[in-house]
Amino acid sequence: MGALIGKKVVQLAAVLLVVTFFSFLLIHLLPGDPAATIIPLGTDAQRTQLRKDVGLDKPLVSQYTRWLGKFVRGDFGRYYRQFGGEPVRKRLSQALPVSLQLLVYAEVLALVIAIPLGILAAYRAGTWVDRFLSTGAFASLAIPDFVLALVLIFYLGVKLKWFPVLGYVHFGQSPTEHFKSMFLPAFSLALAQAAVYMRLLRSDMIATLQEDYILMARSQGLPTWRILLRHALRPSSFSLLTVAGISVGTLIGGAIVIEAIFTLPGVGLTIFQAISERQYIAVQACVAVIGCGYVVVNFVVDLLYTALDPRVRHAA
Amino acid sequence: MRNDAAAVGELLDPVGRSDFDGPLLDVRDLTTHFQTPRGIVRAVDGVSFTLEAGRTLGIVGESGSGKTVLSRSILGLSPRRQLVDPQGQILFEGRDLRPMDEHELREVRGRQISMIFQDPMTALNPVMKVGRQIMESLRVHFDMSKADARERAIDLLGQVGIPSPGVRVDEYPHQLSGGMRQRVMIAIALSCEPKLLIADEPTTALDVTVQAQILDLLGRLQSERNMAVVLISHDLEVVGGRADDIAVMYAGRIVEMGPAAELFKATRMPYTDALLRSVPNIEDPPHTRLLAIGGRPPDLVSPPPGCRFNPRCPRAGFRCGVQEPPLAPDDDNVHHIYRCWYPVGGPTGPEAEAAEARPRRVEH
Amino acid sequence: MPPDLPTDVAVAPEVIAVVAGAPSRRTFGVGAWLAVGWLVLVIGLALLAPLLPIPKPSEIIDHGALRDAKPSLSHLLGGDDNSYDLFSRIVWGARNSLAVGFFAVAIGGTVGGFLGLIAGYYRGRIETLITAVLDIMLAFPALVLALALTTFLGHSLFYVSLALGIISTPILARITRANTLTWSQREFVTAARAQGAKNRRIIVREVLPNVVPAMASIALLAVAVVIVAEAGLSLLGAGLKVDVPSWGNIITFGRSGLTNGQAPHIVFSGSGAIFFTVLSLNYLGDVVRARFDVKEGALT
Ligand SMILES: Nc1ncnc2c1ncn2[C@@H]1O[C@H](COP(=O)(O)OP(=O)(O)O)[C@@H](O)[C@H]1O
Ligand code: SF4
Ligand SMILES: [Mg+2]
Repeated sequence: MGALIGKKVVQLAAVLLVVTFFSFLLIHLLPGDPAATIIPLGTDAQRTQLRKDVGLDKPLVSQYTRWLGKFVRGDFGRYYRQFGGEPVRKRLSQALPVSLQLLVYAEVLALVIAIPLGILAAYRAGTWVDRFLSTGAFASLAIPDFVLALVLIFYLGVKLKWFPVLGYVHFGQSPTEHFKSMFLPAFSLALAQAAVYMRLLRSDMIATLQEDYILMARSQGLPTWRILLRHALRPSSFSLLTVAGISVGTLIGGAIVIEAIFTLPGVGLTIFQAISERQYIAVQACVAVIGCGYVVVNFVVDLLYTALDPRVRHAA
Repeated sequence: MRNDAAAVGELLDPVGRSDFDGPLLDVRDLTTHFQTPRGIVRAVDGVSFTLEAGRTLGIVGESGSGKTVLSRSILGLSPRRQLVDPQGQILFEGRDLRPMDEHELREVRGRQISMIFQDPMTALNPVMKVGRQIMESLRVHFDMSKADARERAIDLLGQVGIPSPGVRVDEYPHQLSGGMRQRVMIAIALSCEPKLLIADEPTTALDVTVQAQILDLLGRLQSERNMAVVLISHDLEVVGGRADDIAVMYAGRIVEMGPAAELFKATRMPYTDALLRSVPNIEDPPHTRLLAIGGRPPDLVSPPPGCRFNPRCPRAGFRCGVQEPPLAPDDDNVHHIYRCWYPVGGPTGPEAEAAEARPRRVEH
Repeated sequence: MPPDLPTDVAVAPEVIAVVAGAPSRRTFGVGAWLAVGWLVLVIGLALLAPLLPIPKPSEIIDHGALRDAKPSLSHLLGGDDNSYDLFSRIVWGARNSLAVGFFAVAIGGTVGGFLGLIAGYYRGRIETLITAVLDIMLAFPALVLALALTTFLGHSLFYVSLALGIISTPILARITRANTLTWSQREFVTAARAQGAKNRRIIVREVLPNVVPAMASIALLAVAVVIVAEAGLSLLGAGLKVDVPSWGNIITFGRSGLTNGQAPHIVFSGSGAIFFTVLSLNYLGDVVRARFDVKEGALT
């Protein structure tokens, strides 16, 4: 177990290095003189400052180590505006909690939708209930999250006015308004995810329900719900949890667009604004932060998975 | 120890001993047919038997003869959606289990009748501690608190001969040996003091050395609790010495049944005879025996006409392929019944038919 | 052969067939024909766009009179916020969205297919290396990787296709590798090897043709993913240039009409085009997968 974790930590470090190196290289993909592209309207003093900040005149490897050193210490560079420009870190530190909230809500919502429906579909496998749910899931998979978001905005936001169309409310400010402002974004992200989870859980659960230990539980007179929830759900949820972990990536990608659509002040909105204002340094920082966050999330999911399955836990 | 267990049993039993004085289990003309893409599988086809409290019925037959389907039918565990026109009665203490719905059956399952399965590896939940698996039944049937159920689970683990039960209670099935797992399964099945235990090949998946231990344990627990047992095996030897009565199944039917000693001493049905004369195969892995006759059990979608055993029967005559023999008592012992036109001990089919044909020709 | 391996109810194949048989797409039924019909229609319109009797996509209709106009007989989908004919935008948008989908998956399929074949056939160190590279490509959320590339490289059709091709590479490589693994162990491959056939010949003649169905089924799904990603990039301002008609750009610039409630049909037209195309591609992908019994387990 210890050796296993050790190996995974080494892998984690290696992948983080690659992710940051790629993010670092982005600046060098810019056509022409990066300094000129990054600060098209700025003063020469700003450009000199930028060259110094990024170390553009140094060899690539030392540029990278410099950049990485700053990145690790939380120095993500700054916005380059004609007059002044705040550090990217300031924006990101405000944006991260919002994005995390959105991701957590979406993931929870997806599981909350998927688990009961997946259990139901498996339990009623082959019946019209199952077919209805499977068809629904299949259709949901073809609806891109942003399309769902826009449709929901129009009908529930603009027409029925049940939810705000855009903007964010702090939890501390008003919990109800907070959840109201987060519901449509989270639901837009969650639906397709829920469809995937439901299908996975359904098929694993069908296999589990064929197992002898389920028959054993039935032969002991346990109620159906108890068998489904306590005996069948856990052994059926390993692929669900793995995929839930893997799909944090899909969610992160989706969340960026969703934040931009709902103007939720998260990392997605930050990156969207940075792209439209051609703040390349800020885009680069966001990419690096998202990339590292994603890798770490996957790492944690991997560890959790190991901890969840006693067969893995007790092996070796 | 023995008294303790009995005492706890008394305590646990809110229903009390039933004052019903008929047989504990009375199965009448049980039919379990499955709808499949290939046609209707007649897995159990008109089976009847009775079992008194505290006694043991052995059910023997080759693989595919319908033993498992029969045992699961008793508790209504057959896949309901596949069932075609289920017939017959399953009278348990006089109440018919057959028409019961899942809800009613739940009161019976585990509480009145329990089952243990062939392979303890697959019949125990791999991601649940064994203690919790035992506690589940206790909590459902007796509404016990977690702490009480746990205590009782540890107690049960001790009763089935698991060393340091206080530690094992928190282990997962894969941490136990095969024999230990089967003991856990027995503990689960006996947790609610059922009056009847159905053991479907309880030792088939185990090492030969462990088999006898498990069977002896079952025997001990049975007499401690005055529990009736249906002991199912494809191996007559396993059932031999341990069952009061034995039923031999072939192609979904009982073909011979009677007191164990009688069945061994005065075997009538050629199929039982073949099972008896099968020899353990020393070289092959355990549980393989060479049947004295060749061939395989018939396809249950379209069983052969006449006696279902006739394509493989060394004694079969012409009549066997046309007319099915009834399940009739032996001349010497009414408790010994069998299905055969030309039973062992008399002339074979061809002999008898030749003898019958000769005088007729003389008459002409 | 042991005479007595007990068969138990739990493993009766019929049971499993009944249960697992829920929405099997093994047969080429109505759904599949609808999917093919939609795709043929969309691809046909896209290819024939310049020949069709419709306004040019950037032709301002009636001096702006068509701005946000509702659908009508003369303008099937109405007009957009620039007073362009929306039907024409959708048709020309199909041209670009499908082109991106096609080119990206062609890149992903070629590179990924090549890597997957090599890794699955030769195994050993080269496989470890390729797997590591693929894992690293998957270390970024796909959309983030794509937007990073287009933001820094540029927004031309080529760069957008390249960026989306890069994100579809690991997907196609993985399925190819998994299938190559199984097929490389079949007797006819061993036989060909025993007869002294060259590895390259075996890969091309014996393995590749068998791996193609799996690749095709995933490629269909990948085209769908790319079409959605193109739209996602557009919404972030990281997709095709704003003046290029594409489904993503149509949605992006229809948003104001949706939020002010005046012209939701612009967003709905673009969204509908994407939805039906993605649905059809997913459906056909499933059909191919079921037909050729592609193991879904190989996807993860
Ligand atoms: N659910 C089912 N559907 C169709 N056929 C079944 C089903 N369950 C059991 N069978 C068939 O019924 C016959 C009897 O099986 P079984 O009771 O398991 O035999 P045994 O336990 O004596 O080895 C076998 O031919 C088996 O294939
Ligand atoms: S009835 Fe005939 S075929 Fe059947 S067991 Fe008796 S002798 Fe054999
Ligand atoms: Mg059996």
